[in-house]
Amino acid sequence: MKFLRELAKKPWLTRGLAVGTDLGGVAHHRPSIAATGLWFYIGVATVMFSLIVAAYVLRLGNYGADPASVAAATSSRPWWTLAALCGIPPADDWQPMAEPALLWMNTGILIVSSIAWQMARSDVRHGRMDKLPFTLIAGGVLAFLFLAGQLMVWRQLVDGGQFAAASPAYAFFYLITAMHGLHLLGGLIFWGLTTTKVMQGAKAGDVKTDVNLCAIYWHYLLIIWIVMFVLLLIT
Amino acid sequence: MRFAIVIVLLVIGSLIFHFVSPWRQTPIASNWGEIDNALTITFWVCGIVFVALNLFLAYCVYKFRHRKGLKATYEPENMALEKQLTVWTAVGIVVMLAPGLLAWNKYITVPDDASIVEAVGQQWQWSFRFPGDDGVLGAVATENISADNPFGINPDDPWGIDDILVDGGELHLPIDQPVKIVLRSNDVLHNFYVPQFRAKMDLVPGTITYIWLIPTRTGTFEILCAEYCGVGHYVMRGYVVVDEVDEYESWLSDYPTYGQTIADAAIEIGAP
Amino acid sequence: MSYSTIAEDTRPLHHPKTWVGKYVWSQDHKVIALQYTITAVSVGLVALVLSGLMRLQLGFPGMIQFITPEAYYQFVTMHGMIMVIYLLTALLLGGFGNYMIPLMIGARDMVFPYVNMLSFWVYLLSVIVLMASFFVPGGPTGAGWTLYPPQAITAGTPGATWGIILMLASLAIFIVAFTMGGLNYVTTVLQARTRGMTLMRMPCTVWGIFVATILGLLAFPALLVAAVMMMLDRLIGTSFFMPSIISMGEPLAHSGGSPILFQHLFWFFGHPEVYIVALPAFGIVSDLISTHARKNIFGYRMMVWAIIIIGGLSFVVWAHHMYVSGMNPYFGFFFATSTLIIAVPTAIKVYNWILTLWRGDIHLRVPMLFAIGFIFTFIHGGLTGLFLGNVSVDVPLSDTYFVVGHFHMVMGVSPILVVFGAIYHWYPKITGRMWNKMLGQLHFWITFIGVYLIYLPMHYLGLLGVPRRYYEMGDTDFVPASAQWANEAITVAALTVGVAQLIFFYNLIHSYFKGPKADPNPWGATSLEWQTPQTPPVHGNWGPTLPTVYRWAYDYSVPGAAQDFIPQNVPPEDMAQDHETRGPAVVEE
Repeated sequence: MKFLRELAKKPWLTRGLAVGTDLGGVAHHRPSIAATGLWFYIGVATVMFSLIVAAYVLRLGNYGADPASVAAATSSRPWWTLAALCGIPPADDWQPMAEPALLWMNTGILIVSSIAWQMARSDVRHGRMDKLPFTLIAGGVLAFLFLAGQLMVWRQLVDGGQFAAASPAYAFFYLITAMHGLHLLGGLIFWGLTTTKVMQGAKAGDVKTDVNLCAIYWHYLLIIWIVMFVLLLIT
Repeated sequence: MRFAIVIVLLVIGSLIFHFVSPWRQTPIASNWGEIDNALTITFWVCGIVFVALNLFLAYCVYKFRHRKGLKATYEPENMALEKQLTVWTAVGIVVMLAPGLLAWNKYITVPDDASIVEAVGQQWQWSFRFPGDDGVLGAVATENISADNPFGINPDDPWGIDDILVDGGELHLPIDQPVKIVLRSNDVLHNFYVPQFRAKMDLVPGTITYIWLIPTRTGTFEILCAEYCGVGHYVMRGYVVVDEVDEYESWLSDYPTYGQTIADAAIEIGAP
Repeated sequence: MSYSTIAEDTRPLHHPKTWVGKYVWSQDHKVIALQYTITAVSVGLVALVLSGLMRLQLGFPGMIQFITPEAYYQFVTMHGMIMVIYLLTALLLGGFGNYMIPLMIGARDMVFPYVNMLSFWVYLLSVIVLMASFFVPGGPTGAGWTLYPPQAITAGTPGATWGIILMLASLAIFIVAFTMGGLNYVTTVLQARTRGMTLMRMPCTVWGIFVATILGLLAFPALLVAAVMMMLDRLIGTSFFMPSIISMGEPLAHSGGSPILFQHLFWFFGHPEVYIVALPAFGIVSDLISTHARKNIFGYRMMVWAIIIIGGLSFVVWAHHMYVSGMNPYFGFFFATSTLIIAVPTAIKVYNWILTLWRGDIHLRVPMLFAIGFIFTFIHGGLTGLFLGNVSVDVPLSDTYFVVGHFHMVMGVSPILVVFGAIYHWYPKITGRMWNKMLGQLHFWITFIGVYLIYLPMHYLGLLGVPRRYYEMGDTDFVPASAQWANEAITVAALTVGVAQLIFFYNLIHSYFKGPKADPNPWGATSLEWQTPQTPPVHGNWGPTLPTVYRWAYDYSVPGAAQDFIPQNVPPEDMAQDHETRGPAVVEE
């Protein structure tokens, strides 16, 4: 709303510094530069994952060519109508994937990793710099463990003959886990930078933003993973 | 000065070009006069705007060209004027959009009495299938396609046995009768495009699309592929011949049904 | 008061010592901008040559032996993709965005200089991967720039073995580069504006680039997803976009995928992409017109709102590229309506450009020639867009030369005219030298008249029904012999325009070494980039203190002022007084 009010201003009427009349321009209350960048990136990633979900749902909506089965399918699963609306063609090759039990464990690990980051956040806020390295390392190692777990799921599936080409459900599973894993790997780069700083004895003030933003990013990736996992489970 | 003259000349030149150029729409051969009407309305609205805006532009460039002592007016905005312009633009848009949407509504609503014919696209040729006496096209699947069954008709489907198969890229249609052309592709995207019919639609592998029309004049019209489909795209041609009804029927009777092609194949195999 | 701290504290600047550090691994936004520009223009020249070869084939079929159908379709594809993505997007955002944003908002650099540098190098990598596809077996992909599956990855399309893989990889790399750059641009605009630079005091150029960058950030993921999924279909045999089909007589292993799904993803990116190119051009041309007409941009607020509204609407019009694609036909009603609604804010922009000239004091310098040329071509291209957006009118015209004429007018010629105008406009600031006026005018007249001669007849060939992407028409009943004359004339015009660009490059290069020294503010412009202490601006842009902004960017011909322009950093009371001693002032008028 502040933004809209700003847009309604007639800038030719106000000359001078215009203190307090604008968004930014003067430096009262601006979030940090890195935070702005991160939130924009979260926007970008959200669009990307949403489009994968949309593609998933549309591909899922490929129901049998027989009109009766179309009607039955769309009435029992309303979201399938979306595919029909978009003119996505009929096919009936959707096989729900077997959900490896390991996925539940991986989800748990990622949750604990996020909790570790939340603890690191609180450590840095309260200046507990002695504890911080441990919570940070816990957060990062757990994330690596999650990635290793995901790789193990891949191994299990491949050993069981479930390649990406086997069925669209598997194709999407590999795609989603790969995209999510790459995002987590990107986060781990910043985890490495931050942890190094802390190990080298940085003060709380120097790493506060880094830890905060990493934690936000971790929580974001946890939410994305849970959404994707639920999507895999219910279909 | 020079620039203003050039703009005026470009406007006049464009108008002359519009009226004397030999390249205009082909004489229509279907019922889609509405599409042409919507196009004509769009031409008029856009043409008037094109001339008016550019002449005003030329006038400004000429009238307010820099001379010694000339000073620009200071006027940040004029909301009243902008609102008026917005309203008039919106009116122009509605004038164009309304006939367009009405024509589209008709375009996608197939009349009940339309007969059916299927056009099949495959790199880089056309073939056609009529539903035969029962008026229903038999079920098809890509998996069924073979040298003996190029249309991929399901041999177990009773609706398919009397389907009439037309290979060779020439389709005949009876004049003045609505026809729904069902479109199917065996490989990649194609587009069934006959300029004189105005109608056009993609063929999408994995799904069935359609157009419908009423041929309104007899003659031979070329079918072109209008969706890029690989290196032979430009040679993917066929013909539609619009006939009087009896000529059409005699043409159609020359072609075998699917049942006959199976029988012929069986004879060939069985022959010593 | 601590309001100056953030604006001043952009962290210590990275000051390289060596030539390599300064010009190769540079973190200075101006050097990165030039790196982007030079790369984009170089690859654009390749695309220009390809278009010349295509025109030779169309105008004089069979004259040149090596232009086989395969080669022709490869040229079509590479020309389109390079021009849209690797030239226009990279040049307008990576080039102009990088150079102009920090200077126009009074910042020392982009907020993430290191990421900015990476962005360029990753972009260069994407260009190299793309160019490499000319040298792989089978050559570059000939799938058309829209890369529609199944055709893009099946036999029967040139480059379906290697070319398409490199194309998809290159696009994915480009998107990574763009995202790194884009995050920088938006964050810089939001966070690094100098004191007094409110959002509504930013020049239209910054607004256009800012909104276009947001569009890019939100639209490119769709292309990334589509590219990755197609890559998987091609490489490991998934069926995202591939239904079960017979290719060249052989059944393929795919089944159940949807080619239309790809089209939805592609155009969800592809339509905003049009505005990613157009909005920066809209912004830049607004500033050129205002500066050279010595008058504020008419209806500044409307112009900003229009940019934002167009940007928002551009995400709900994508399927107007798909009216005859076989998607659900009822979509036609919605997308035709939303498409024609977007015409309203666009028309407002055109009115306001012309109304800026109205009662102005028009200096017809070379940048202004290009700006007015843009208004003409954009009116033409915008109006023909109404034909194609209006669903049933689109039916006979889609996939004909009308479409080719339309999009070249609206997103080829128009932004390129702005790019030329902008280069002439800012060249004196960027190099410190002035170009040759005669050559600039010659370049303008040949280009402007030439492009109209190229594209106007194309619309009429399309009206006749000549389909696009035809290697040759051959004998076609409804096409009169005269259509071939049109094609010959178009080819001659196209080659002339193409060759005339040498004048431009000669002028730029020659003037860089031999041109007269330029005035720091030769056009009497108000915006901050003209107020730098040095010309060309040095690393850090502003010397010891950042400029302070006291007014909007359009104080031209203000009544009672001594000059016909007042720069943004001139304090309001009295221009003669030294504002350093008075301290920052707050004046409400």
